[in-house]
Parts: sequence; structure tokens; C-alpha cells
Amino acid sequence: MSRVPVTILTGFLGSGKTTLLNRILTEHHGRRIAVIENEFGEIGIDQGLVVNADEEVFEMSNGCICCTVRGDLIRVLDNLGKRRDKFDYVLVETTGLADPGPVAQTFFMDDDIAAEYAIDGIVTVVDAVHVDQQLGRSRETEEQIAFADVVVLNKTDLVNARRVDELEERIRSMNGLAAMHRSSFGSVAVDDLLDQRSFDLTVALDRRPTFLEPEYPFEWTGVYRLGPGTHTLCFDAGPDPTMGLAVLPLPAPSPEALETAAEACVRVFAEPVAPTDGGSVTVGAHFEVALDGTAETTVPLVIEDGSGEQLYGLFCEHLAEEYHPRLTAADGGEPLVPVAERAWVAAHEHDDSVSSVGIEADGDVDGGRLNDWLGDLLRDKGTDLFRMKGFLAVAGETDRVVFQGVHMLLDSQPDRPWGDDPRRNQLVFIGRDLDADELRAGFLACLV
Amino acid sequence: MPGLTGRVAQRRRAGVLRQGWSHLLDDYPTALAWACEGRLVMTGDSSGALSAFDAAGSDIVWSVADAHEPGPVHLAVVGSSFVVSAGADGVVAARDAATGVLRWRHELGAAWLDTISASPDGSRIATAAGRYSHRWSADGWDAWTSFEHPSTVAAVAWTPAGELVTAAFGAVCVFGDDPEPTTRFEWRGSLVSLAVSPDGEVVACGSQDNTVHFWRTATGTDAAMYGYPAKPSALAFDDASRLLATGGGESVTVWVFGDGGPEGTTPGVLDAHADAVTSLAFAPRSTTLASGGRDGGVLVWRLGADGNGEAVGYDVCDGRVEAVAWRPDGRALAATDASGHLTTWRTGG
Repeated sequence: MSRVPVTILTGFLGSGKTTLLNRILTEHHGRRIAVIENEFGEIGIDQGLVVNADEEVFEMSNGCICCTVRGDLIRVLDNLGKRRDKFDYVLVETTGLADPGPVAQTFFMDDDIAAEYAIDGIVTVVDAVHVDQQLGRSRETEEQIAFADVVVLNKTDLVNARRVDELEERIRSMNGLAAMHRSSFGSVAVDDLLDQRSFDLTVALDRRPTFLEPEYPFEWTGVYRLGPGTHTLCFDAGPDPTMGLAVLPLPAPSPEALETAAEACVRVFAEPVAPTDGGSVTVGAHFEVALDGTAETTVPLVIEDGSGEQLYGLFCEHLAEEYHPRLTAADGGEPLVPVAERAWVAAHEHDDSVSSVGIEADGDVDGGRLNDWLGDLLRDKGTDLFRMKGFLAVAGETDRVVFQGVHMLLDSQPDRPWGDDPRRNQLVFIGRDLDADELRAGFLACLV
Repeated sequence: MPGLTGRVAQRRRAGVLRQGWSHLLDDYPTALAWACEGRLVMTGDSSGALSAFDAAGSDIVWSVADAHEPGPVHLAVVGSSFVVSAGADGVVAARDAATGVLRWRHELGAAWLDTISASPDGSRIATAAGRYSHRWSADGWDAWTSFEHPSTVAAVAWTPAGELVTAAFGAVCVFGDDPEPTTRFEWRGSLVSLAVSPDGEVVACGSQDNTVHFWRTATGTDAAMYGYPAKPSALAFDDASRLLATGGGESVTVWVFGDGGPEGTTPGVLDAHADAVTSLAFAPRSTTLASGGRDGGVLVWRLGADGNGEAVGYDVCDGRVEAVAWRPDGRALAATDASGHLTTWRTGG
């Protein structure tokens, strides 16, 4: 019997959660959705089977945080299951102050619920205008982001694009596993929110074969509209001896096009540094410009004849804030204003206590040692570990092993055979006050 | 998939269970009870309907389609003459058991009524709605409301002395006439099921943390029984208050009270179900036990003084067994399942 999928919708009051919920309910997606609401939203829910439930967190006598479940959900889901007019999807809207841990654990810890329902994913709506303040003040906001499978960065129309980039990087540093969608007025495709099967790692890995975001070797991109000719690129003095550079054509100044170009640019940066032809930089290759420590550095940028005016992304190794890159067109005039720009790392250091730690290693791990290490880790740090996912090459096993966990609840299973693929391991931990070096060292010690 | 483990499958399929009639209800069965001294079987279902069937055949004696708004309906039979139902619409209604004629009706507001129970002497009825428990005299008057419990009331029951007992997260409360409880038995866990021994000496609860917790009412001393693989949502005492049968996994675990037990004793373990036990009922004045499971199995067990016993009859329903109930004379059994069937069997003799 197939289990009814459940999506958990979290986010602070005012983040646009209810607007998003209404969009999901009103769109024609052919699903019959039951909604369990824990608070009266800013606006009413338009349609669907809506049940109100008072949040009841049931802690257990043993004090174990992973045994904590939501009694109200157990009761409501149990009752909903006894209806002939079947719904085929459940949305649980939590309060802005809800801890997502017990909500998620309810679907693993309670046998009756686990038999009828399968958690599909945790969607967290983040208010781009206020999230900075909320992150400083509330553990709940941090934890809602930390637990998310999907983060909807909402109200992006109310802040400038640069700010949105910074927020996105900040959220990504906290939760490197979540899919991120930018929106205004909850304008996210329903297909990006429901039926994600985020807790089914085989499905999740098929869709996205790596958990880890690439680490970009560049920190800033400016998008410029340029015609053929020799343009002039100028950097301020700064602490670094060189500036890595690449210029790539771009189909549009959109975030999606930038990300696609960034992927391509990672490969360009991996190539050996091209000799600057007569001191000038050209399109499509990796350059390194020697910087003057005390004065401006100027370098020509040559766009070949034959191409008309079009968009180019200027990918720089170091942040624009430090070196203020200025591009002046061949025909002179004021420095060009970028059509779009994007920072690829946090624009400044965050002191968020929640972070993601990714570990990647080739080769096999020793199953016994790994079990011991994970057992100790979950026992000592389980309370602070919110989510973890990974795949492993275990010595002696022909199948890839996938695992995922919420707090101390860890679920691992064999996936597909490795076959001819190189055997390797990838793990991501999201938690509070994680010691990345200690985690890495601990895992690397499990390698055969 | 319905299925039973080999130990029982080798036995004669029916044993002491001889199937009588079966009826397909219009919706998911949420309540089951015998009424009119065993002449009627009554059901409540998720459409909000109440139905009364002739125990001798499957004829519907009476039915009220809109007794409640859609949602789970719960039932309590009061004495031999009437039945009280409670629904997700917050309505409590008493009907003449033989005819279905409405006697009285109260609306409690928006909260779902999740449980209902009649006192052993038939003089009072109690329900729970959210964090409150409500109580009425059998004629529908003397309405009483408990204090606000710290959490939603999961179950209500009665002592033989007519004291109301409630179970919620964190505590069992025993009430006299005051809205505040006269006694609180505290346990930091979510209590999901409740049974009071017929002699009133023991209150037992299944807890979300996969334990059974019980208190001796006279002294308040308590004990916890660990080792269950799942939450014990089914509990049943025998009429002699000696055996406590508990679910909480595929096994039925039977604790023996008396001779200093069950503390420090080994319980009886009844293995046959292939999935979690969902419902338990002792036959009246007997140590014969009926169990229903998520595997669809209905079993009848004959228990010895040590709580162990053997399956003497079994049958398989179409899907998870929702409830099992003995006819007051113990010579027939009824069960409801997740496919909507009401099935009856004659047993023994």
C-alpha cells in the first residue's frame, strides 16, 4: 500500500507561508490535499480540507530528543486516515516558532503514522527582508533553515539583487543540502515543493547526483554588455599578489544563467593559466593578472571582431568589494555599470552557529570503524545534528550505501551497485556548533 | 497483507471461531459495541453514521446517517437500554438502543471528541474534547467540565466507585466532583491508552515511549514495563483484575497481578500476529482473550494463570482489525476492519 506523502511547511509568521500555501491549494495539480494548520495565518486558507491542531510537543521520560514527537499530529493524522473521502497529500503548516525536529521525527518514531504516511520534505519559507534580524535573534529560524529540504527565499522583490545573493550564500553556508528557490509572493512552481521525496535518498541522488555544492574558485561575477574591441579592466590595489580571471559569454543576466555559466567557469578555472597575449585578456580562458600591491592594475580585455554586442560574465577570483573592478568600454567614457552581479561566497563572515559540513573522500571505508565513529558522534552530538545525508563505499560491499538522518535517527540502506564508477564517499552534516576539522578527521580515520 | 505466523497457521483455520454474518459498512468503522443484552451490534463510522444490526442476522435494525458530521464517531453503551455517541463535530448524543430514537444531545463546540466511556453502573458518561473532559448523568443533565489538562486528553475511563479517570501527556488524573483532580499519577511521557482494573486497584496506561506504566490506586506506587517494540495502544483487564493483556508490537504481552506481581515477573507472551496488535478484549467473566492485529488476524486465546496460553481459534479479516468486542454472554465475537467490514463469529459450546 502506498503511503500518503506529507510536506512540512515552516517559516516565520509574515514570511509568506500562507500565501505560498494558498498558491499550492489553488493551482491545478490534480491532488486532493489535506492541510493541518498550527496557527492562524496572516490570511485565510482558501480551500481544501483544513484541520486546526494545537501544537503539542511530547517529550519522553528518557529525555531523548530524538524520541520527541508531536502528539497533535499523531492524533490528527490518525483521524484523517479513517476517512473514505481520501485525500492524497498532506501539508502540515507549523507555527513560526515550531521546532521542525519533533515534526519530522513523528513520521519515523510512531509506527501507526509511519505505516500510513511518508514525509516527503520540509519546505522552509524565508523572508528576504527580515531574515537577517531573525537569524540573529531566534534559534527557531536557524533550525527551520537547518532542517529544510527546500528553502523558498521569498519577498526577493523587496531587496536588491546583491542582498539576495548574500542571503542565499548565508543560508547555503547553514544548509548545504537544501534546494533554493527565489520568489516573490510565493511564486514557486508547485513541482519544486511537493513530491520531492527528499527522504528517499535513491530518488534524491538520481535527481542530483551530488550533495555537495561546488566550491567556486571565484568570488564575484559582473555581467556586462560588450561589443567587439579592446576594453579596459582596472583593479584597485589589494593584499593578493594575483587575480584569477575568466570572461565567458552569457545568454541572459538571470540567476539561472549565471549558475550555469559558473559551472562552466569552474572547469575554465581548472585549466592551466593562459599566457596573456600581449598583456591582454580574452574570452573563454583562465588568466591570472599580477596585481600591484600599492597602485591600480590595468589590463586590456579583447573581444574578437565578428561577435555583435552581447552579454559577458567577468568572473574574478577575489571580491569586488576589495578590488572594485572597473570595466571601461573601447570607446571610452565612464566605467560600465554591470547589468547584474553575483557574489559566490558570503560577502562577510557570518557568526551563525548553524552550519553545513561536507566531507568527500575517494576509496573505501571500514564498516566497523565507521559504525563506531557514527555511533559515538550521534551519542555525543546528536542533539546538535539536525540533518545528515551521504553515500558511502563500504569495503566488501558491492552496492553503494546511502544514509540519511534526523537528529539521532539514522537510516541507511544499500542503493545501486557501484559497477565501474569510482568508489567514493560523500557526507553532509548540518548542525549547531559543528567542528568541521574534527568531523573530517574522524571520517578520514575510517578509510581503509 | 493479512497473514499469520506458522505457529497458528498450522492449526485449524477457524478453531472455536465459527463465522456468522458479515456486513460491509459505508465508511471506515471507528466504533463497535454490543447492545440490548447482545441482541444488537452497533457501529459508528467516519461518515458520521450510527448503525444497529440484528445480532442473529445482518439486518439493519436502525441507522442514523447523519448522527454526526463526517469524522470518526465513538460509542458507549449505557446499561442495556441506550447508547451514547460522540463525534468530530463536538456533539454528544444519547439514543434509545433498540430504536435509535434521540434522547438527548449536547453540542460542545469545535473540538473533536476522541473518546467516550460510560461508568460501570451506567449512571454517568464521560467524553474528552481537547484538553477538557466532560461528564453527564445518564439522563443528560448535571453537566460537568474538568480543569484544563496540560495536554489533550487521550483516553477516559471509570473506577468501579464512579470516579472519572483521564490520561494525557504527563499524567493520569482521577476526579471526584471537583473540576480539579483528587489524585494525579504523573509520568513524563505521552499516555496513549488507559485501562482501569475492574476492582479499581490498578490504573494502567500505554505510553508513546513504548512502555506500559501502571499505578496502584491505593498507594500511588507505580511501575513501568519496558521492552515493547511499539507503543501499546491496546490494553485489556480480565474481569477478575488478575490479567492485563497489552499490545505494543506483534506479541500480546500478559502481566499477572497478584502474588506480588507483576513487578519482577516474566509476563505471558502470545505470539501469532504477523504485525502490530491493534485491539484486545477479554470475554466476560473469563480468561479467554480476543486479539486483532494490523495483519487482519483475529485470534482467540485461552490463558492460564501464568498469563501464557494458546490460540484456540483464528480468522482473517480484510485489512487491519479496528476493534474486537465480545457479546455480553461471551458466546459471540464481533470485529471491524479497515476495509469497512463488520464480522461476527459464534464461539465455543
